[in-house]
Amino acid sequence: MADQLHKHEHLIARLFVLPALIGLLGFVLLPFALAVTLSLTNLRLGSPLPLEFLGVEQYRRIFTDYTFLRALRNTMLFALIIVPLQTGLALSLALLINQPLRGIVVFRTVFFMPVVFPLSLVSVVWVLLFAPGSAGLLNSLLEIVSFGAWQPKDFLHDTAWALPAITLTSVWQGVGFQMVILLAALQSIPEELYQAARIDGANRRQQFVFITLPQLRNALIFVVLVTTILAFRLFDQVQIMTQGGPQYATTTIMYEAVNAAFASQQVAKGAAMTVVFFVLVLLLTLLQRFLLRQERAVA
Amino acid sequence: MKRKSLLTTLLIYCTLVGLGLIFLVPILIMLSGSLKIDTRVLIEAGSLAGLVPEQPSLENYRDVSTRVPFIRYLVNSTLITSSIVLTGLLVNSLAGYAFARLQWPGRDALLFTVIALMIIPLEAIAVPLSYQVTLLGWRDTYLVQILPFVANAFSIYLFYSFFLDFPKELEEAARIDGAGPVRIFFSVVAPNAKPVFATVAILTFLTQWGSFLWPMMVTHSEAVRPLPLGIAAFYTLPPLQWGDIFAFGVMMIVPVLLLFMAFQRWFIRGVATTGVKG
Amino acid sequence: MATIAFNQVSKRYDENTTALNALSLQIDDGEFIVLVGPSGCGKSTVLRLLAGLEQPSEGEIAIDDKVVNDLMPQQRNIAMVFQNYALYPHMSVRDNLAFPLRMHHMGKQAINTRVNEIAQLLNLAELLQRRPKQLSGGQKQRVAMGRALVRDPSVFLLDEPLSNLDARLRSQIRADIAQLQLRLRKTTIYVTHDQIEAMTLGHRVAVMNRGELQQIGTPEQLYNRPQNIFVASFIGNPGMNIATTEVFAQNNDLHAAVCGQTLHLPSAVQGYNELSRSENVGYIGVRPEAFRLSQVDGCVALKAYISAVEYLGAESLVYFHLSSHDHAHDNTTWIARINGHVDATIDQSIEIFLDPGAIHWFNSDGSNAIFDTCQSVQPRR
Repeated sequence: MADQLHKHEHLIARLFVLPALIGLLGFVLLPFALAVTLSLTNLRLGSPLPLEFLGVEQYRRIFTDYTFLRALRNTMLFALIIVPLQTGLALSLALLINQPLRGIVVFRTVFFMPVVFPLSLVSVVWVLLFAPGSAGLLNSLLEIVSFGAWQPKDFLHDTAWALPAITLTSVWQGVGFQMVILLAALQSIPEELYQAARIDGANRRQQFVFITLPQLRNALIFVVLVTTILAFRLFDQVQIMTQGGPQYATTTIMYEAVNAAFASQQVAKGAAMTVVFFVLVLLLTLLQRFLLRQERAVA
Repeated sequence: MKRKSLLTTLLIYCTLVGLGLIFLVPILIMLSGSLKIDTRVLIEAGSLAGLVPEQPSLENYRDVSTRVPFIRYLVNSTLITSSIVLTGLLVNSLAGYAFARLQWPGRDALLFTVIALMIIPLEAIAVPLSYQVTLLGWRDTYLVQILPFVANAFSIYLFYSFFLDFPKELEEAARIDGAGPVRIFFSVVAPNAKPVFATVAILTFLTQWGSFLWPMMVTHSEAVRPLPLGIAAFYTLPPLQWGDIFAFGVMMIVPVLLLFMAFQRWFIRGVATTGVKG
Repeated sequence: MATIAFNQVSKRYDENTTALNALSLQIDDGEFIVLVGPSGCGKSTVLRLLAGLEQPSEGEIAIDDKVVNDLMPQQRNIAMVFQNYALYPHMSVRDNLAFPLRMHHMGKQAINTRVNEIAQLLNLAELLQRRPKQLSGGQKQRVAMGRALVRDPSVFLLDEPLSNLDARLRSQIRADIAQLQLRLRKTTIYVTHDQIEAMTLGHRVAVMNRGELQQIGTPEQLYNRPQNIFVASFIGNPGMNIATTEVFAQNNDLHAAVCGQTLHLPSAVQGYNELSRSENVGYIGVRPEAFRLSQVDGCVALKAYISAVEYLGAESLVYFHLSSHDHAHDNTTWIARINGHVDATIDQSIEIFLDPGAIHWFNSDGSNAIFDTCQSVQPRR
């Protein structure tokens, strides 16, 4: 009898989830399955060859392809530099902002502002900042700071400097995001903990080590994960600032995947690359889950 | 709490101002560059003194429109982004509500699926998805830039966790007052869920307004391309005229900055929520 | 307007949690019933089942002899006041009051008239434009009552409606509710954990514990003739003193052994016959107010070892044991409620007196050994 009453609610609930479900199935799950399937074939648009099942052949190819390995290396290097840099900077900014000072909100706004800038625009602006010779602000700034010792560089066309330049651009744009997350976490630490610590005789440094950091643990893990995944997705800046150059110094997984699929129409190869990308993201997510669970087990 | 000494306070302010400049200068360069004669931009870019344009003019802003269909890009971006945000709010909030508050068979399994889908970023499916929409004949349309992004697992999750904590008595009171589930959602729950709607709207807006990879993959005509592709194309369009590029940039970011200034509190809260929920 | 019947109604959430077990209950038209009991006793479940917010696992619920199990809440013509009022935060008081009417497709003009009527009745006229956030606790409570009454429901449900108010406001609104009910004569079911609200408001009071109805009756019946130990100790503040006892006959007289002392029970005592016949009396119960410090005719004396005295102004609470510290085998603490100030010191031993007729006797399973009150209670008109 109660069933009949519930029938109506079941129907409504299904209607409520239906549009979202269709969207997720059609535009996330299906393409994801397609990615895995296509990566096992030889699909190449406009190719006269018949569609064939190749097994892991594409994976073998990309893992022996110098350019892709270079892209993999660049992506990891980029993540390795930017994650500690951006997290550290975000934490420092959050700590600076989390002080009862007059006008502090203005600084929060300023630090956060680049987050609302599209990466494409940011990339274009920073191309000028990295301009070679004395025309580039960065070059002339470094010249002044080093009292003329600095030799102007063409950052974006220098194999050693191109990736760091992209890193700097990305940090400038993105650090406000992480700062705000950490700031919220900082502000949710109960003031009583600090009062208790002060009564117990902890100085400022000890309060930071024994209260702030442990209380921020989950937020920090989250920020590190998000930053890492964002780092792995690196594409816009590369496409606009360097096109992967010079000599593959800034090419990334996504840049190669898009290039394979579009510039050379090798859909299967591009799909295999995105599957590799997904596996990396998945591993990172699992690592975060593991770290968070570990803490829950301890607590 | 102990009062900080004047010296410490001063030091903190100096650090803040120094850092603030790092964040502001690139923006100011863009702004002042957009007011300069094209040839002066590159010459003066190397010095901070060049931040103040000698003879400010709006010449560049006029140039942009004659060289590229800026208004077209702006309209496209606005149309695409607002369609995604608005339909996304509706579709994802309804789903989040059904997962959080309605009873129906299969709910938990589907919820688990949605949460699992959260970890698949666009990049991981971009190539096959573009192949898929090519087969459907959707390339180079508004539709192809909107439809795939309406349903969003993370938005559903944000709505879901908000509605989980929503006071049950309000819904029960409404049921007793005679409202059905649809009416309860639209008349009682949604009007009291502004924070989560704002959060989702802002996060969706930020992602979509800057969207670059996807439109690059599936569009080629100016008629449907959004601003980020516009500036990338403009930047490579010879002759390289920095003043024009910056004018384009300023016009591209001003609507966003206005929105940001008006709803700053919500922007920051919205971003902060992602950390709390994640 | 509305009678209510619960017929063997049970609610189970899963195999191990029974919120309500085989409840049978008849409620008369216009009656004011209070459900009282500790938290988790199932009293709110009764209300939610009747409202249609939950479905019974077994049994039938009827309003006006019509089974309503399959009806949606809005089809039952009931209204409910929630513990935290559940006012719609985004609507003004006027819109809150109008919402139920709008849901029932009443015309705009009629809605306006009706809302104004209710606002008049509950003194809300000046608050109509305000949002719930701008109201005090007492005002919110009144709006919640108004929203429930506005539809002129046949049954009025209140779920702990006073628990979010401070003590002074609570007793004032308690009186208002009683008056309102008297005036509107609506069948009303009121859930509370507060026995003072139960005793002052209910025509009949239903005491519940662990999903079971313990006793239903008028406040006097509950107080004077508690059906079992739970009701005895739940009603009254402080609750009834309960201790194990053994009743035995000696020299043609009945005696009761309590905590190492012996009470002599004269044959004139109420329930003497039942007591002498019964075999399994296991507990004695004495209300704190049944004790006195001075001898009155017919009273029996006990030796009390005082452990604490609380002076409350008009009265004092005396905490005592019946055995001294040396005989610590029984350390039941007894409470006596004595008028005025009690001049006694801790550890002092005094004589305390008790009318044996005021003693309650319970079987070892907890049921009342003298009265079988369950069947005898009829709804009070």
